[in-house]
Amino acid sequence: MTTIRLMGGRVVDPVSGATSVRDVYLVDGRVAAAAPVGGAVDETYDCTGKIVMAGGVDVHSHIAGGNVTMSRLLLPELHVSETAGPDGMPFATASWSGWETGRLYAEMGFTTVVEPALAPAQALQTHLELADIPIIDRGALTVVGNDDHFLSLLRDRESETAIRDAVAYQLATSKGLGLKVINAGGPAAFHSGLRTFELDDVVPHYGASSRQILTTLLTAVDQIGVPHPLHVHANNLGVPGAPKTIEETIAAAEGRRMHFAHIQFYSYGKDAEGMMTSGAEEIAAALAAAPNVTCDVGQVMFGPTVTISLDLMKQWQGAAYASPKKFSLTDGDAEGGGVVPLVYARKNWINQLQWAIGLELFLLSPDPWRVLMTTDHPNGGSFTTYPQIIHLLMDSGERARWIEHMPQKARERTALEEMTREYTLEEVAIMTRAAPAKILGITDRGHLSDGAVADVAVYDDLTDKTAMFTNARYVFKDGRLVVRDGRALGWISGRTSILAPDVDGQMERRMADYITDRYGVGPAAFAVPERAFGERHVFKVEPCLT
Amino acid sequence: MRQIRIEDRGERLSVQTGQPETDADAAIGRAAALLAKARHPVIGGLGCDVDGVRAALRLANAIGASVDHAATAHERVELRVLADSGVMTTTVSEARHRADLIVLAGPGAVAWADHARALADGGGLYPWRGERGVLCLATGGARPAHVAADGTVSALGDDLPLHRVLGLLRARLGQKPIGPLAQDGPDRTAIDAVALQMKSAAFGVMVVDANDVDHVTLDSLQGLVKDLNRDTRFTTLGVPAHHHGRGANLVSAWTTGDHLPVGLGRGYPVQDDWLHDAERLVTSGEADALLWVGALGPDVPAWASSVPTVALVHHGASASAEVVIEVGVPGVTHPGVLTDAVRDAFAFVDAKAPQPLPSVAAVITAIEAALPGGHP
Repeated sequence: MTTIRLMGGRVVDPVSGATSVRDVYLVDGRVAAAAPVGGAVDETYDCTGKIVMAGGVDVHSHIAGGNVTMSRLLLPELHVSETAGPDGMPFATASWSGWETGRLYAEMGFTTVVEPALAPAQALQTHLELADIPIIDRGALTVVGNDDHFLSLLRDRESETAIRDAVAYQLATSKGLGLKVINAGGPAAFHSGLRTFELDDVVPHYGASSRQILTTLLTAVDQIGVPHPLHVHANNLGVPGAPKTIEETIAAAEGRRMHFAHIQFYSYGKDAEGMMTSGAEEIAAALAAAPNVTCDVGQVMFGPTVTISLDLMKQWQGAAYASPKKFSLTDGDAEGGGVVPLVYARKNWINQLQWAIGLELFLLSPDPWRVLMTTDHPNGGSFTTYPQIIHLLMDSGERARWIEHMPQKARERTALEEMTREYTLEEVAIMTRAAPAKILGITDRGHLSDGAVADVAVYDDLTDKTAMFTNARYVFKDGRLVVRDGRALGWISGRTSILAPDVDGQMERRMADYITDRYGVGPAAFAVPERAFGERHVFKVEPCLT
Repeated sequence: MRQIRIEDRGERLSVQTGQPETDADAAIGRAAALLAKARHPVIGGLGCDVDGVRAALRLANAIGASVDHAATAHERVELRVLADSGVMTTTVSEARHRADLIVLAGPGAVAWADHARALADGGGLYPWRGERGVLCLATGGARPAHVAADGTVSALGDDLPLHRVLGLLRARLGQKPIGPLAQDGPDRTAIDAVALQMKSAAFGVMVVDANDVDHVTLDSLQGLVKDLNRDTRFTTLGVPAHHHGRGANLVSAWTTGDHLPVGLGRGYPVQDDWLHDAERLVTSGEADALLWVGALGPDVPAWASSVPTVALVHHGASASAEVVIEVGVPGVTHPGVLTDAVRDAFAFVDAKAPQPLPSVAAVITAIEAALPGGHP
């Protein structure tokens, strides 16, 4: 038995209790409410004057898979490696590598990250990449809703049971932790030449509307017992007037649980001239009225980045704004992908407005349990900007300093300047730890209750929240010290959380026939078997709802 | 000599050298010593599965090696164009079912289509698809025998280089004038007819072999496809890289951040097509040791003879090197993860004829462990 004592820190964990100065014990990789009776403490870390929180959990960050690697190949100039890494940590400083991703997340105190776009036809690559991300635990969301098989089931008016079984098959075989739909029907319509797609538009040749795809999947998620609500990348991303789309999508859910991805990109209103304004208040009001709905923000931060999406239609439109002027677009089997580089410029009033709208959404949030922090990495900005975002939310003075540089045209289109709310550490702990873990259904983390996974971040209690959250003083993963003084200490391997829903045998046979017809190879070619990872023990099965 | 991991697994090394050697430890030890003393080692060939590439990159990091793959056209042409100006691509299976126009650009596209027969039937998942046309551009007279087509195969520019044909088509699609045409070449009417055929496709797919073209030509081809997408849907399909070049470069991208070739001598990866070109490094004398990985081929090249070489080769391969270690073939003698060209994705492939030969990953890991200061 190994017992670690984190002594005298200020523990910020609203799940296990009010903030207080107390000791936290980590016993054999789990949090213990008290020291084991008669047990010796093997290691003690003096946390006096420091903040102790659970390890961070990221619900939506593009860290692995074919499109992420496509972005690496498309944009070598954005990630030139220039620094040698420490001994014993190969590729730790290899810019945009999976190894760097794991290190940087860990050094910020994040210990679980979910890749939100696991395309079933490419599942093994995503999992191979995830398994090569060190230190942190991972998960991925299986993308469904735009593939020919699923749309054919809708066209043929197959039963709810058949659709549930087909979706469960995709989830199980791709080893996802949840289900996601991207611009429901939009990419399929783009294959057929359409360039816009609304909630009630119909996918050519299938007769299925976006609304029908969405509601069918909402039902399937509940029937399969997926703990994470359907993860929805809605129609009309980035379109002024999209708050109406969000309101209509919420109405379509009819009270069923649903998670909107990167809602900032839908929070654009328009004025009488059709120019972009903040639609954050409208979105916040819609969220307040819909307790069944959660979201992550997808905050925009300034600088060059790259957008990665399976929303082919949006990426084709966005290619006209690519900076530098290049992009990739893959017409994949079912889900493809588009990679478009962008610069969010401080001098661009629209980019400034996007930045402000994201912060408005946080500050208007009706509930930190339902509005989560993301940048939709890397689409709105890098995950490494999280400390800056926390700083902006906790410190109105810091916000004011940023707002000073806003062009007038942007300032007059957002209410950010008038907002005085400052997030508390408790709200940050909920928004970046407890809530994403709960929403993902991985309830053994994100908090420091007795028996929780011993993923813990210890921060210096600094006024400069950017500095505080950029480099954790200590990070423990499964009770093992992995970061000290803001630097990762070495490589350990985390796990990839998956669901293993029951798969109906008849559907398995139908899918095998379909796959063989489509690809000329059997379903084994799509499998993600443990043996593909050699001696590594990669997967952790999480329970479905019963 | 430390006990090596591959023996822990009960696997056996078959060793072929000028002086037959039966001790696996000794072969590994000699390989490690040869690479460890090198000032600038190179890992080349890299025809192996995902775990082999992962192990090779780790070893390269440990010894400061340059790493390259034998599929140089994939790296220097396809991946360069991707980084220069981007690409539009699809998969073989999507092309098979959805494409109502297959354009074979260059003779390599015709050769691949006939060899792989991946487009030999028209698929059947999309009953609304129109008739399938097939068009040959600058194929030197070659026509496919195994591509499903409704009607005759059309062609343009049999006697012209591909870049010239692409230029003519881009000009006419952009309603630009074209200069005087060679008397034995296509006339403007023929060019306009092909341009119209391409614009009229609902989902066209242009197939090209990177070995046929330079990066400027491929860039032009991608530009043509992007132009066509203003009015319709069009995309491209690259002939798969040989010796698992596609998979090796993807593994490099997520491991080092970029494609091959890459150098790890500075303690961080440096991607440079010229600087870390395996053949250039060896033949120029900059490199002083070579680890050739040829589980999936190719054979050790003649230029390898100028430096001390460790060769990991499959059974039956000819190899002349200081240390030759016979390894298994992923998907044949042992399982492995390889790219599946039909859908451009990785697949786990079981052993078809298991044999107790070590994998590339096992041998390279053992070599790394046998380095001075290694961790067995």
